[in-house]
Amino acid sequence: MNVSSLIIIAGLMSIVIYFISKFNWKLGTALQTITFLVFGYFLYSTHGDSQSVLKIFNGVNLRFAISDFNYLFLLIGVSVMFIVSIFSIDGIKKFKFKPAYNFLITLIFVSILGVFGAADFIALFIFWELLTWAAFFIVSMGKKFSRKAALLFLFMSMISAYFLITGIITINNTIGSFTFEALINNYDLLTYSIKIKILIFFLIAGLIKSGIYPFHIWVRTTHGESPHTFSPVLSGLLLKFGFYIIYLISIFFPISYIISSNPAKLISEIPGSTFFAYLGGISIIVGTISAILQNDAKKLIAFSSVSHGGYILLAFSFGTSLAFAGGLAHIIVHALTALGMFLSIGAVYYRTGTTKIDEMGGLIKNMPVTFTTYLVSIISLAGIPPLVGFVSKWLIYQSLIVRGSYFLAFAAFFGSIGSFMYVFRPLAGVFLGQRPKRFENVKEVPVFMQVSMLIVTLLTVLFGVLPGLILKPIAYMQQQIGIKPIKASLYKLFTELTTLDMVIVFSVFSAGFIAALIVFMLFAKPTKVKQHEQYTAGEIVPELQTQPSIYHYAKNYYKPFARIFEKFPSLENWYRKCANYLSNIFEIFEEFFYKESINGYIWLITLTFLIVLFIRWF
Amino acid sequence: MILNIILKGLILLLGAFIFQVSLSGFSRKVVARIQKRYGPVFWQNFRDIFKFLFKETSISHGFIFDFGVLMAFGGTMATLIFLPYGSFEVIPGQTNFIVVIYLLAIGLLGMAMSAVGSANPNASIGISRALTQMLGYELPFLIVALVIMYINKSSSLGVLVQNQIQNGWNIWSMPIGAGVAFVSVMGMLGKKPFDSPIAPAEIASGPLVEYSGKYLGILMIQHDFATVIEVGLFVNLFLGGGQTVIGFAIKYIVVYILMVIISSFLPRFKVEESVKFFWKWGLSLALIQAIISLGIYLI
Repeated sequence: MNVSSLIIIAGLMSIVIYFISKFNWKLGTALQTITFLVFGYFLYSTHGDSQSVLKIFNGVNLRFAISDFNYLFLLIGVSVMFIVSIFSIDGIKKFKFKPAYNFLITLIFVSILGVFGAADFIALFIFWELLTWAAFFIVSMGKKFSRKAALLFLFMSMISAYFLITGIITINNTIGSFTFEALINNYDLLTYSIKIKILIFFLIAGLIKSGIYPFHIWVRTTHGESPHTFSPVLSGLLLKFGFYIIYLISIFFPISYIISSNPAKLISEIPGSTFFAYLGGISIIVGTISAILQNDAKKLIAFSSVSHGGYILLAFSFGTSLAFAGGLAHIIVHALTALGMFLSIGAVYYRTGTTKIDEMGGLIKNMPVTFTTYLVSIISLAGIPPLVGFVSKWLIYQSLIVRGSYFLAFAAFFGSIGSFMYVFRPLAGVFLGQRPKRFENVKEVPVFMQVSMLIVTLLTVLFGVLPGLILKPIAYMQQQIGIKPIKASLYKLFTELTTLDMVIVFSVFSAGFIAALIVFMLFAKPTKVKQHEQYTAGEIVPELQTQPSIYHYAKNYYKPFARIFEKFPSLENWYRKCANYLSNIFEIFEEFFYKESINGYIWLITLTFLIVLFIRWF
Repeated sequence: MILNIILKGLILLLGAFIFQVSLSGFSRKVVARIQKRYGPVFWQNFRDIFKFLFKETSISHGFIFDFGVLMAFGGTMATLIFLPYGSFEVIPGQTNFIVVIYLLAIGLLGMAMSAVGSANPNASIGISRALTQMLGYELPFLIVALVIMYINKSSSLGVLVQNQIQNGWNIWSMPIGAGVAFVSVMGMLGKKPFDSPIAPAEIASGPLVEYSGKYLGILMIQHDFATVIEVGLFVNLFLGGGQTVIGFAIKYIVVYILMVIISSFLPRFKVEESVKFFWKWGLSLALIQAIISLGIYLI
């Protein structure tokens, strides 16, 4: 199967799924899940080069390919969509527009195939825009302020798209073709200044889409407000679109040509490279601090995505083969952890109807599977062995240590230790502590949601113990696109500094745990007590039984830490001030043209028409 | 081979237990003498631990309360395995610094989970303080460690120790960094002035408030093991580890007793004060050390 026929079939399936969902939404979602699974199978079985062309009007051809450079991305995309789709079989029960939601999700799937499978820039751009369009409608189906969030998302995506199309047109103007192949073959035609120009355009487009530091403002609201089944897709996959662009451009331009021969040349040729690595570092720090200060679990995870995006950008622009592999691995890792965290918080939202951390508590007794998923995901996110998060962070750290980049290493360490703080906040506030009376009868989520969460959990552990499962394809991919591949084996991690055997780490950890269990079992059996039986300094607190939430410490969990950052300037406020300033300046035009009457618009249209006429005339 | 490793691991655990528990008993005596008290006998800590372990009643607050204790204890024991002690390595060649740092974190995470699982707000406050403070002390320590790893081109503790035996201890070549790491290790151990997470008078011992019986006994052993790892890291990174186990132990005792003496006459920082202290002084001094060492290395 090639990509263009897959896209056509998926497009047709979206309509079928829409109508079936109208008739029975559960059946429609199940059909969607099966579709994604079958597509995944087809993609998996077509390994090797497969080119295809999709003819649209006017003789415009869209080229697609499944090749080594995008095979991994396609698989990640399909897997994430599949897992989320299993979750949706039960998860979209309370949605208002279920058929439309399923339709749009399938369109998102189409656009994922299109963007990751594209072999020319026009196809890439068309599906990039399809994604924005579909995501805009899905985001606006979410919580109370979701329409505003969707508008912000649309606005930022538009800016990103303008940069992207400008970059694409610049390429076409220089080499006269939109295909990736032509770009690679005519690489020498590009002058230095044009290379820089194209690189900057593509990078800014990618940075906006992936929510890196100065452009991160849309991530919080969009992730926080969108429907709970869509947030994992947004964070695990759509942010990665930006990195895919950065990845593509870094294959085409410097890395494949330069790394293999002379890594030092990378910096001299692309002055932006180090700059972007530093931007990644700043993004890690800002994302971490902002995540620590959030009270809404989804917004907290959104900021953690900003921070982890920083790791990926840092790794990609760092310019060594090891770091590049670390960045690719981190894309997979973050897709998994974001899925795990967002799905478990989504499951909590499904049952309790809130994502505010301080309103909940003690839910572990009701939702053990959800808790396990969250726990495994956060351990992986914090980069603790023997889970998968350790693998990519290890690669990134090792490359930073080899080169001795102190600021970047500082940022990476900061993000890593800070992640303990922010992942622990929902753990303590939502799942542990005192359970409020009103959540006493909350049940575990339905079976399909549990299944999808369990898949994520198992993959996180499996890839952690056997990192070769993700590192071998990455090494193969590096070899194919002309970068010096990293050394990879099934359960060993090799770097220039040292070798690490993950199976040993895992078995030592298990042995330690078993030893602890034996010591624990040796001594007398403990007495179980109820949650209100607490140490209260000898006082009897009668409210503890009737109103347990007063004894739950979750509000302002990191107040001392917040006090440190009280006087820090906020970028969002600065943006807001700028917006106010601009709107004051342009008030006069608003008076003139945008009065709330039809006249103003007619004025504007007439004026535009006259200007166009004037330009055409001369 | 595997049997050998298991045997060595058991010897290590038993040895570390006896060594560190007697040492902390001795340190109680040292503190007592500073405060002009007589102080308990040095095996007092053994008495405490075994008394708690063999108590017939202990209180459990549910599954996660037990599981977290196991995770903390198991994770800390696993971390002990990855450290070199003079000539003694349990699994030869597997002494990676980054693994040690991260596995140590799993113990902390287990402890934090268990404490918050007890649903006592005092424990939660303690944990929130402990995690906040961790962002303070870990950063300067890691920066200094990074400088050492960069200069030696290795992140294996065994190799770092070998290089120091050949070229001289790192404490002489980077004294500022050693000072920063010393204070950071004091923060890791929760010694005064960095003991706000377990402040007994404010939050009733913080994380430990709900533990009793065998839980408390296990956590006391866990704390002693964690002390071995943290002080052992300092000895390995800066004092050249040791050629023999005895040499390692002597350096260890000197460092530990010095920390106890320093902390015995200091007051307590508020938690944000200690974070600010580590960021302001620790980080800037660590970066100065980084620049100096890098300069010397490149020349």
